[in-house]
Amino acid sequence: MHGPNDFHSLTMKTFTTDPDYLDILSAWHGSPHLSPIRRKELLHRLGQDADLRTAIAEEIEMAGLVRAAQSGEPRWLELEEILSSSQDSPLSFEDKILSQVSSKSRMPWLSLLNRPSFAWLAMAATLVFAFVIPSEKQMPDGVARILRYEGSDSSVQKDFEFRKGEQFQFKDGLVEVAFQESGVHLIGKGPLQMTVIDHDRLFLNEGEIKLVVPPQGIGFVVDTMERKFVDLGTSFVVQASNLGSRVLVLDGEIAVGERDGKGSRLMTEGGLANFNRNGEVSPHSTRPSGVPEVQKDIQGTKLGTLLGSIIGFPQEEHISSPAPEDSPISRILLPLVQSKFSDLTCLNNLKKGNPIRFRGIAGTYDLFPQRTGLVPYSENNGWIAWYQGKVKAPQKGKYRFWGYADNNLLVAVNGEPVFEGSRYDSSFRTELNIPRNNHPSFPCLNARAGFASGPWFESGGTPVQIDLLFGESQGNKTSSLLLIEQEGSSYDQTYWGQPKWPLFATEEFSPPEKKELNKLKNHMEEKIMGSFSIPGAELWSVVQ
Amino acid sequence: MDTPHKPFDPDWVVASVLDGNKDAFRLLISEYGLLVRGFLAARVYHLADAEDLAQDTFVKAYEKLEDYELGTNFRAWLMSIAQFLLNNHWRKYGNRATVMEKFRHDIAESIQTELKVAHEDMDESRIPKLLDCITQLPDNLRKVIRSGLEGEKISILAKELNLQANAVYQLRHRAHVALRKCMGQTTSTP
Repeated sequence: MHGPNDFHSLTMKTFTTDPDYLDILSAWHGSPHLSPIRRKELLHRLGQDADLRTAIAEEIEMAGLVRAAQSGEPRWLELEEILSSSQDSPLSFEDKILSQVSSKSRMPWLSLLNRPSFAWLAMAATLVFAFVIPSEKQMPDGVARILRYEGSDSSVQKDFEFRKGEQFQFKDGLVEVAFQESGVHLIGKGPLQMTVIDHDRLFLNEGEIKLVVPPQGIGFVVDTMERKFVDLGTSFVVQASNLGSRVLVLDGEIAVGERDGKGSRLMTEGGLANFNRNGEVSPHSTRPSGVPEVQKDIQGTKLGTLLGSIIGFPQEEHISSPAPEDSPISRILLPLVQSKFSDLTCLNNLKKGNPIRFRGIAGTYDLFPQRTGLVPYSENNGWIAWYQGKVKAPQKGKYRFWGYADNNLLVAVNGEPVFEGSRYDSSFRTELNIPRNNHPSFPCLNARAGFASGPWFESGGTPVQIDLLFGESQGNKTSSLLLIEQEGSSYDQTYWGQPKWPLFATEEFSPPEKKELNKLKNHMEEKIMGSFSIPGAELWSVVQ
Repeated sequence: MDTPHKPFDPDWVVASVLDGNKDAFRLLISEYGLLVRGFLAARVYHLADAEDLAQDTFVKAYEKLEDYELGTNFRAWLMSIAQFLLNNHWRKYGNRATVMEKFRHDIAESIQTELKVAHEDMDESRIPKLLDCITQLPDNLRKVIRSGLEGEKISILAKELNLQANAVYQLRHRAHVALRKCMGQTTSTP
């Protein structure tokens, strides 16, 4: 059997300048242009040439692996939910593993786990300290200093200087620490326990820290029990507890390595990963939000509400399209958007559900077609809810939308699109060229892409016509958030710096709805480090 | 110098899961996650779809774990689930496929055997070194490799690098050769 390396290099030398090889790769990676004759030629050649087949296969296989490896930790909420329903605590799991390890002498790498959790933490911290700190007889004073502390722990003093190897803990509040030489700034949230190993390294036992690393601090290392996080010029958040550790990259890039120095991987802005004691896992999914659908009262035509209807294809049919990756429902509605919502002919062959009220866009919408009377419809071709009406801003000023939808989300003011927060396979995104900024370090419900934001627009003096399109491309698995920011307003921020912009809404939410929305908010804050707020004075009003 | 790779025994982990330790399944995810994701990312155009299918693979594997016969080949069993889900994905998506998508599918069909061999040649024990190896690539190769992520068009990259599109494929091939070499070496220098 051939080895992957020698065979590969021998065969590939003859193919890298072969136009057939290059055309096949180009087609594989998404090139839209090859004539029917050329396609036939290439398939014929593939059928005849075993070496070419091997060369293509190896290139494709490697490209896939590289692609997956670089994309960071997967967000697999569904799987995590299945696994986390276990009644076994991680510690009991460790004990069980060890009882079997000792009897079977397998998996020796788990031998450290045979200790009570906190003793294990302390011992590991000590070991790390012992191995990492240079064996200097005389350690210089002051590798880091407390700049600020807001909390009730009287043992924490401003201007306190840490020596190498000094342990630090406090119960509550926020502390700001500056590391000398490296210039790294740390903000820690209590309860926190860490060891300052040097001016460029610390061990986080428990708690949550945010680091901002200037260029001279590149290479700063945060150790936790599970991983080693090496900064490559960035800001990032690390959390550690006796259950594992978690990292969110806010800006730039970090390398995440095994504790034994092997298997490092890069994580870039917006990257979020969890590492538990037994392996790696991230409870975040490219799938819907992972929370139950908020049961808002969406039916009916109540006075003073923004009204809409849900639209879909009446039956399963193949929709031919020059952009097949795009969702059929978004493509067919393009003329509506392009005509500033005046050309309704594209709706002629579509099915409408019951009249619906706009109750904000937040969370999961898996049951939306059923709840709004669209079913039966073509699930494979998706649905869109179109809300429209005249609305007035709570205050005169400049506003911009934030949000993301899996798959389609668009807001137009007076016919002009001012926000597009759709997934890659929406024609709203690929065809309309609406200005959009992506913010991967602000996690949204279901996207690695994080929140998108649109340009500022003026509103307030007079009512504006609003058109809002939101929906799913295929199947009934979707989730979304739509928030709004007023320029100059200050918003509470999450600890890791994400403003809690309010949901865009035109009606006050009832207490049960608020309870459900708070559950969604808590889920975001605890599980994916995102957030939003429930609007009070920020509500827009509907003008009849 | 690298330490010798510690053997991973999937059968013992499977037995542990079947014995009620759900958490032990994470060890299987940790060991085979990238392999499954890479397999799917090589065959599905959009990375998000590949990630969803990879999750589905592990969900299905968890649900069907009792069907796995201890003492056989866990990796092969797991990959057969991934292949099954991939076939379903193609079947479902095929109804909406364009000419070029159908062409891609035809390519995949033509090289199915070679793809299988190429995948089986991937030694999972070497895969953890991949990102280390990427960081050691020269800048231009690293840039080309990073462009393989979601949605970046070769034409845009070619323009940015002032190259023809074909030259980008050639660079990517060089990068892959370097990465294979790096992953296969005891000292990781491409």
